[in-house]
Amino acid sequence: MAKAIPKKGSRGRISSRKSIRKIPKGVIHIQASFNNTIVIVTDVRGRVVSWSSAGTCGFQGTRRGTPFAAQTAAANAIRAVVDQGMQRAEVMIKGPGLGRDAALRAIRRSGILLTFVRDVTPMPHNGCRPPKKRRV
Amino acid sequence: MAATTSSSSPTSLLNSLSSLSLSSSPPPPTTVSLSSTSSSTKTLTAITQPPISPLIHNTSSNIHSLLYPSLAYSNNLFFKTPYNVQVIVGPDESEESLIGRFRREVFRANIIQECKRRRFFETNQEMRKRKIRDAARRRSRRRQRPVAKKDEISRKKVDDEPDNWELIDVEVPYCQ
Repeated sequence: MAKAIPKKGSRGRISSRKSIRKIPKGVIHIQASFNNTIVIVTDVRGRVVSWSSAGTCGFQGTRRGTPFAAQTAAANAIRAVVDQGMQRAEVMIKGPGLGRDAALRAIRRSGILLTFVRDVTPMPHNGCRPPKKRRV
Repeated sequence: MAATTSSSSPTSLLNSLSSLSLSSSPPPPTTVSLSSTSSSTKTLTAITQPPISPLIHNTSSNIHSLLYPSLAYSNNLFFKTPYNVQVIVGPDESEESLIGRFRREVFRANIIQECKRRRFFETNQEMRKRKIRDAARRRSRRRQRPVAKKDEISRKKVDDEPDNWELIDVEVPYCQ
């Protein structure tokens, strides 16, 4: 594990309860690929709080890549976090997909204050060779 | 035109900056550059705050630009996470304006086009074809705009000619 999280509580107790942290500010990562959209809510350091995707929202196959599915995924992810008291958020969008704008729209409508909206699509400086062309 | 983003790791850039500060004397410009949080050269930002002036222009030493030309735009370093496009959301911004602004910035940075290009491998032949197509498109775009201006000017000149060859209604003697 890269980040060492200090243990808390006594040794003897088996902590089966989830640690509910109150996070006022967080980061929302949207990974929008052509086939799916994943929305992950983390804290500022990057530790995941909750996540949701078009697939977990009940969509299957080609419907996962649609903007509507991205909208429901984002709404789902944020609903779980708003209860924990998150007010402000940054948005990091990755990937070229139809879910980019739709998820952003859903986040905006949910009432969370947005500070930044960033695009963090990874761009190689001519690195690995991509797979061959499809002959469809 | 492929927009490349110089997202070199922050640690390597910090190292190069520290070497810069050690080699030359002035301390204040280096602190300015280290505290800057603007984006890198080839990335676009819609920052409404005034940008921090570049390191090179502030300092009187031209040694920086000679020795480290790649650091000429070192004011545009990003330190936390590398990003391609950043849009700072205002306090009362409508949903459509925010999305419109974001989409415009992304379009200007050519991100989606690049992603589609890099999805599958393109051979040298395909790369050459694509470059020819892009160059032709760019040339046609450049020629459309100034040509339109020339048309307007030529039309105006026709009206302001001093010679007027139209028939004048004047009574000429000995003519009916």
